[in-house]
Amino acid sequence: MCFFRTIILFCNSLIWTRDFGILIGFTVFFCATHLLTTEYISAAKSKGEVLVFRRGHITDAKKRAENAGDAEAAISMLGREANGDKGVDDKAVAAIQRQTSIFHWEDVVYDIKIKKEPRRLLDHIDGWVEPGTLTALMVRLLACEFIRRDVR
Amino acid sequence: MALYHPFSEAIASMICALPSKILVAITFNLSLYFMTNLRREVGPFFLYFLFSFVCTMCMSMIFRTIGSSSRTISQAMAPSALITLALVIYTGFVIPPRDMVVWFRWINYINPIAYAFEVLMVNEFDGREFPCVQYIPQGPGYENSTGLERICSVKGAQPGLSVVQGSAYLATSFEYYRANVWRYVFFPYHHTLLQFSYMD
Repeated sequence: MCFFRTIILFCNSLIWTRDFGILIGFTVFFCATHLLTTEYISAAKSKGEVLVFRRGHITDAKKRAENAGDAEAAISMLGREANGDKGVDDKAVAAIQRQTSIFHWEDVVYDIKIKKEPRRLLDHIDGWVEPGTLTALMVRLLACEFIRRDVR
Repeated sequence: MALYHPFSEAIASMICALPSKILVAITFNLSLYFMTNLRREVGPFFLYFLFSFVCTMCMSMIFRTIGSSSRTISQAMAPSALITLALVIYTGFVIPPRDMVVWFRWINYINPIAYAFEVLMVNEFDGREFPCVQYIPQGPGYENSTGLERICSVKGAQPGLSVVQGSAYLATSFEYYRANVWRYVFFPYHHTLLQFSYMD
């Protein structure tokens, strides 16, 4: 070990190599535990999810405006008529029937061509959508190509 | 929902933290090493730098492990505070290893900072001789004592020698309060290790 004499001054003891090994060992060990725990222990879910636009829910402000029939509301109604906008009235929105029928499908097959080779995106898929919810369909592609616009 | 595994983000986070860690290590260690006038030799300097950086990485990994194994911030704070305290106290500076009580001695063995500290101490003291400032016995009637009649008032001293071997001192004790001459040598290490254990 005295080969290192000029660099390491305590070549008689192996303290340098031993302690270096131990430190590297600690680092590698904790790196591995860090990666493992990251993979398997998830952080607590945030409880911030709030449905902002609830079906049939009228905010207090809007209710007050309707009851009082104040100037602002009247102007906005006038403006809408002037524009020829026969859009859905507020009352009509509130009056829409709650949908209870379930949309479901079965044996859906979807083939596309990528680089002149056929690829099957949906392979005899069955499914259903709960009424009154927004459902996103997500696909994990083996090839990293974005064909989002084709999947609706 | 995860298209990527969480550990790939963890690896990316580690890599992204590296440049700032290296920059901090260079600026901090350079100024500290030369301001405190530690050993002005090439070998010891790079050994010092290497060990303080590896120690930084090791502590970073420990704290990352604590962080990733807990689900909330408050869950992570308690163990990291406890572990930091234990690691700092049982490094070997606050309590020299020979003074540690038997049932807590194991903390010193599983303490990465202790190994770095050991190397840094040996790095600084080994192969050096320090001139003696104060002899024992001292006072009226002992002014003319020489040779084997007196001994330096520092741990590791030998009768008749006007210098103290750094390695002998290290081997005997880390009791810095008796070695007034060398007291300054200890603080930089202590603060370095403290600093690095709180980093990340």
